[in-house]
Amino acid sequence: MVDQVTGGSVFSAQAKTRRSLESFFSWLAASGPKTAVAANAPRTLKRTGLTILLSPVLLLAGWFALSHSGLFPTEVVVPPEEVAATFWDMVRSGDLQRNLSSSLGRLAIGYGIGAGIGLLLGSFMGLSRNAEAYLHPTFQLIRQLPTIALIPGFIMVLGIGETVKIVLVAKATALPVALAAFEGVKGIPRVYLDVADIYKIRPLTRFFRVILPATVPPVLSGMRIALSRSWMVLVGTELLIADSGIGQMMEWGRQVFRIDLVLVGVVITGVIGFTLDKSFRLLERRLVRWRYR
Amino acid sequence: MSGGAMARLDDDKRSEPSHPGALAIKSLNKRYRMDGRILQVLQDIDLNILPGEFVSIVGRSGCGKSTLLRLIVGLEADYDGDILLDDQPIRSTSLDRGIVFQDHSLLPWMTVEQNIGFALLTLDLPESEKKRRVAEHIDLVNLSGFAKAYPRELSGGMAQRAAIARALVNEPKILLLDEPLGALDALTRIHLQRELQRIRTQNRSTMIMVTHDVEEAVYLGDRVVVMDANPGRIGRVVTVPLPHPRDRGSRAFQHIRDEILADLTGAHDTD
Repeated sequence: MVDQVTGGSVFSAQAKTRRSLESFFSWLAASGPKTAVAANAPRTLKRTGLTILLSPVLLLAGWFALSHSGLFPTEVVVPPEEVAATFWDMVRSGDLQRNLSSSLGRLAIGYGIGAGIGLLLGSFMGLSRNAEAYLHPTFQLIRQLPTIALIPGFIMVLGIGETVKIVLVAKATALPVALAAFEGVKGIPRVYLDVADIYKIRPLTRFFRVILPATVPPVLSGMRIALSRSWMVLVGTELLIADSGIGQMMEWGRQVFRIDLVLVGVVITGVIGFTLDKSFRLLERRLVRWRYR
Repeated sequence: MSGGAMARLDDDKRSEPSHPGALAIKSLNKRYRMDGRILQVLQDIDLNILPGEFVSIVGRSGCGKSTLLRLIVGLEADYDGDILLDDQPIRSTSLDRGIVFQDHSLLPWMTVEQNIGFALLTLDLPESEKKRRVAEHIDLVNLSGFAKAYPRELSGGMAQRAAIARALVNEPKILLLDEPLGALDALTRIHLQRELQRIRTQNRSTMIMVTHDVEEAVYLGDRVVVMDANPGRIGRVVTVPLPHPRDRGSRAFQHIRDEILADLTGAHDTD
C-alpha cells in the first residue's frame, strides 16, 4: 500500500511504471499527422482521438459489471455510480476539499523542506570528496530503510501531530533528491569540464554555465520521482496517524465500513499522483527545452 | 616542406595580425601509473612544427596520439621533457591553443552561437567585437542560418563544424584536431576534409591533426607523422610535397598513401 522506499527493485519498478506512463502519454499526444503515419505503418493499432478513452471506459465497465454481478455484496464492491454520488456529496459538503487541502499542504511543506535538504546534501557530496567519503555510506544505509519502517520510532519522538507527517514526507523526498543531485554532479561528462578548462572559464561562470545546466536534467527527474513517492508516503502515513487528509478519510471509511468513501480516496489519490507527475514533466520540458527541441 | 604553407599565408588577405605558432617538442616522455605498474605512453618524442604548418599524425590505437594532443593543449601537465609554443613552455590550457575532439563536445544547453561565444567568454573584448567574431566564424564553417540551433538539432557533420568554429574563434596560434572527422560517414567526411583545407587557407593557425585515416592524413598534411605503439613513439615522418587541392586519385598521392599504409601494417607491428 505505501511505497516501500528505495529497494533497488522497487525503484526500477517505479521507473518502469513511469516509463510506461510516459509512453502512454506520448501515445495520448499522438494526433493529426502522427496518427496518419502510424495508421500507415504495418502492425500498428489505429489511433484516433477517442482511443484514449478506451482503457478507462473498459475499466469502469468491468467495475460496473463486477459490482452488479451479484458475486460480491455491493457494500464490498461498491458500484461506480455510488462512488461518484459519494464524491459529489463530499464536494458539496466541503469534506473532500478540507481533506485534500490538508494533505496537499503537508505535501508542499514536507516536499519543500526535503527537496532543499536533498539538493544541498547531494551537491555537497557530489562536489566534495571528503563529504562523499564521510556521508555517502550513511546515506546509502538510510536510503535502504523504508520510510514506513520509521513511523513507529518517529511517533515516539515526535508524537502524532503535524510534525511527524511533514518529517516523513521530507525524508521520503530528501533521499531520492540527494541521490539525483549527487549522481548528477558526479556524472557531468568529463569533456564538458575539459571544454571549460580549455577556454579558461572562470569558476563562477563554470558553475553557472556548465555544472548547473549539466545537472539540471537528472536533478529534475529525481525531484519528480521524489514528488510521486512522497505523495504515496504521505497518504500511507495518514492512513496510520492523522485527524485529517485523504489517507485519514479512507481509514475512517474503512472503520465505519463505508467502502464508497475508501474508493473515493483511492481514485483521488491516483488522480492527484498522476497530475503531480504530469505537471512536473511539463515543468521539466519548459526548463530543459534544449533537450527536447 | 612548409614552403607551401608559407606561400598560402602570404596570399591571405585578411587584415587581422597573423600569429601562427611554432611548436617544439623535445624528448617528451609520458608515463601513467596503473595498479603500481608504470605504463609508458609516449617515449622520446621529438618534433618541430613550423608556423602555419599542417601536420597529420597517424598510428594505431594505443600509440598515444590522443595523449600527445592532450599534452599539447595543456589538459595534462604531468610529463617529462619540453613542449614549447613559440618558446613558451606549456603547463596548462591557454586561449592560444584550440582543440576539436572526435565527439563535437558542444554544450547541449547552448545554441551554436552561444557555444562558439563560450570560447570568447574569458577574452577581454567588447561585446560587439565578440558578436562579430562569432558571426564571422559561423560563416567560415558554413553554418549561417543555424546560429540559434541547439546541438541536438544538428547533424554530426554540422555539429563538428560548429566545434571547429568554436576552436578557431579566439584565433589560436595552433589548432589541434583529435580525429575530428572520425565519427562521420564517408561522404560527410570527404566533404569536411575539403572544408578543413579551405578553412586552413583562410586561417592562420598552425594545425595538428590526429587521425586513423591515412588518406585523410595525406590529403591535408604538409607532413605525416607515423607513430608506433607500445610505447608510443615516432616511427617516421613523411613529407607530402603535393600542391593543394590534392587529387586523391593521382599516382603521387597514392604512392605516399600506400607507403604509409605499408608502414602501419608492416612486420614490425606485432598484433
